[in-house]
Amino acid sequence: MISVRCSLACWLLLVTIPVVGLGQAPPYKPAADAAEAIKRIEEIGGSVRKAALEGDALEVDLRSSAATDEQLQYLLALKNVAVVRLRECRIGDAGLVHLGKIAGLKKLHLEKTQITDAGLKHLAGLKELEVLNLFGCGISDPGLNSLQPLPNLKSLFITETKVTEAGIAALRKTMPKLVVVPDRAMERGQAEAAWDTAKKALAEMEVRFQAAKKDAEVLVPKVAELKKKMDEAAKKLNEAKGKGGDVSEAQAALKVAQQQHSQAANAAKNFELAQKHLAAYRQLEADTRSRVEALRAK
Amino acid sequence: MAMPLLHRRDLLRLSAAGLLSGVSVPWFEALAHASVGRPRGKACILLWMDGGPSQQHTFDPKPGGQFRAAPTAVPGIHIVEQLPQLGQCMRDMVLLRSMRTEINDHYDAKYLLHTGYRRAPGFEHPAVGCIASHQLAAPNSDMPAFVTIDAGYDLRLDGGRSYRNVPGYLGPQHTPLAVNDPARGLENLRAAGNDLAARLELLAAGERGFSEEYALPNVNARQAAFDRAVRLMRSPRARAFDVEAEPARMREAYGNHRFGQSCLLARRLVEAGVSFVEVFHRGWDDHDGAARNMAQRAPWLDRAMATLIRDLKDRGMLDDTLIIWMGEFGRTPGNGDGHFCNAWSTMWAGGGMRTGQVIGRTSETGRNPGGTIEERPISAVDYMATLCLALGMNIRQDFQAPGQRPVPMVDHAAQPLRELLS
Repeated sequence: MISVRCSLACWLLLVTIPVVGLGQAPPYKPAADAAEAIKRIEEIGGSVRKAALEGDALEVDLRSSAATDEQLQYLLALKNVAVVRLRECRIGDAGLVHLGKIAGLKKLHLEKTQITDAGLKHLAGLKELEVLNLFGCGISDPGLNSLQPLPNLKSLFITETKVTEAGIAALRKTMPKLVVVPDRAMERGQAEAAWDTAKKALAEMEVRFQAAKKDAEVLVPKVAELKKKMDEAAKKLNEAKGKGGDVSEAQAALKVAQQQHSQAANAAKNFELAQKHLAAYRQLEADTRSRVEALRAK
Repeated sequence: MAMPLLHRRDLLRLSAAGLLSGVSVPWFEALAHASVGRPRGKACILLWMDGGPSQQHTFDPKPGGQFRAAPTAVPGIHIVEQLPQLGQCMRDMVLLRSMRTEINDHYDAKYLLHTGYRRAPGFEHPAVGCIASHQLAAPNSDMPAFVTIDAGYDLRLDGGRSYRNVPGYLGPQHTPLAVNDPARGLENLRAAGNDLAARLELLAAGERGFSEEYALPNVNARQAAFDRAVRLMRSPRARAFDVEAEPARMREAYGNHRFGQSCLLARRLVEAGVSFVEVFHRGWDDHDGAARNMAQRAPWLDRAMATLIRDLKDRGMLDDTLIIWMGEFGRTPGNGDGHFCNAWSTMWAGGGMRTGQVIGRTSETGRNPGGTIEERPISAVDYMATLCLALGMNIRQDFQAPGQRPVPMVDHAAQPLRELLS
């Protein structure tokens, strides 16, 4: 308890620490140089790092930060910005104007931002852009037209948007190599293939289950009887040994009795195991089927 | 070595002296002046099946084995028919079928596969999640860099004691933040009462004098830890710890099982900027044979992992997130009733790797199919080097252990699987 109190006190002492997420972003002030821009980006809860171990490309990460549209101008004071992450920022079309000026930009993450179809045209100048993530944005088919001037676009993410399959098909005509996620046709195909695997496996399991069930029905009631036979055979062997004569016949009889008994005793175990397996296969079939049904309904 | 380590060594000394023992959130990073630092790299979700899962009942089925093989989305690659949805994710997966890791003892193997080093008395090597925290985390992020999630156990709690992720000489700020139950998220995240600001002020008045008089590194370090705890409490990103905030259909898609919910939490954390998440599910030490237990695990395993891969892909996160499924070793060929470190499998997905392939091959025929490796044995250090490289780290560097002792991040003899990395 004391340590917690102390912690809060200490926190108050460090008044210079930026407090992120309270909705009170520092106002925009133009940054004179890259160092100042980095400082400002950190003040609003972002970070500037190298994009990869090799090379001097930069990544600006402002996920869930207090960044505003005009603060995106800080990025223009940096050189070699290749990746920008703006997931869940309160930025909109006005911010895209600034982002559209980052000539070497390769990856742009705009998930769950307030951008709209009208704003996407500002990205037309991003000739190097390879990945554009619009997950959860309020965009629809008309917005996709604005992406046609992007010659290097390889991956486009539009999950949880209003884009339709017709809109994707239209875009594909002009950008045949573009990978669009989600790919509903592929998803349906894979879901159906998974269901086929599960159905086939279940059908075969049913056959094995019925065999195990039959074994159990036939053999399990005989366990007591076979146990008795086995005990008798063991007794006979002992008697034969006591007489000192040939025991091979009695030995062979005991072996047969033992085998029959263990087969019957195992039948119950095998049946129980088959029940467990069958339940698992049924679950797999139900899971894969419900996924197919859900995708068909979409 | 990079400069911040000097700083960290100070922290380590303080920690050794017991001065930081009262720190309740140990993964803090002292407030460093962030400049353009090392790359963020990729995030990692390690799905750890504690006790050693059977390769022949999952990703390396054999003809005549207990589980039958089914084709996947990649022609020519087969996994067991009990994982139908994962099979359809094969284009985003890589199977490493030739792990050879030399240790058949649970804890020593867990240590080896988490650190890349054999366990030695009197010395703790940092776990790979701690290394990721040290190498990849943003220095002043309000989210922790490394989080572990306990996904519980199903049938039996066996497989020896769980591995404890230790940062060793990297410093206590790289200790993982532990989530004990995905449904409960991070406990004590909210302050009791609604007068937090007033209490902070009151306490500040009491502490100011002391801090001004004793402006020592340990006082500052302690302040930094507390600062980070409060920052997390106030951060909107902390909502990532709450799976209840996820739409019902998404929670349903991951499955009702605690492992599925842990995978969903892992995705939320990575989305919020966490570098490394380890989800551990216990009780995979199937000494009675793997068939019965694996059959029961298959439905929730298949559903959770396939959903995780698809969900990351849908969100455009799969290229930046590496998923690994593994345990400390595999199980004996055939019924899987023993430990087996000579030839076993791990599954990797996403991470911007060259997916849709199998690396390594085990024997198909002979007296003991699957008992030997026929192609590309992967040692524990090869594995560790590949993992660190895939996450974007420079593996050719030494850490400074106590006593000015340089310890390579990964053994320099390692041969990473470059064919995996694009």
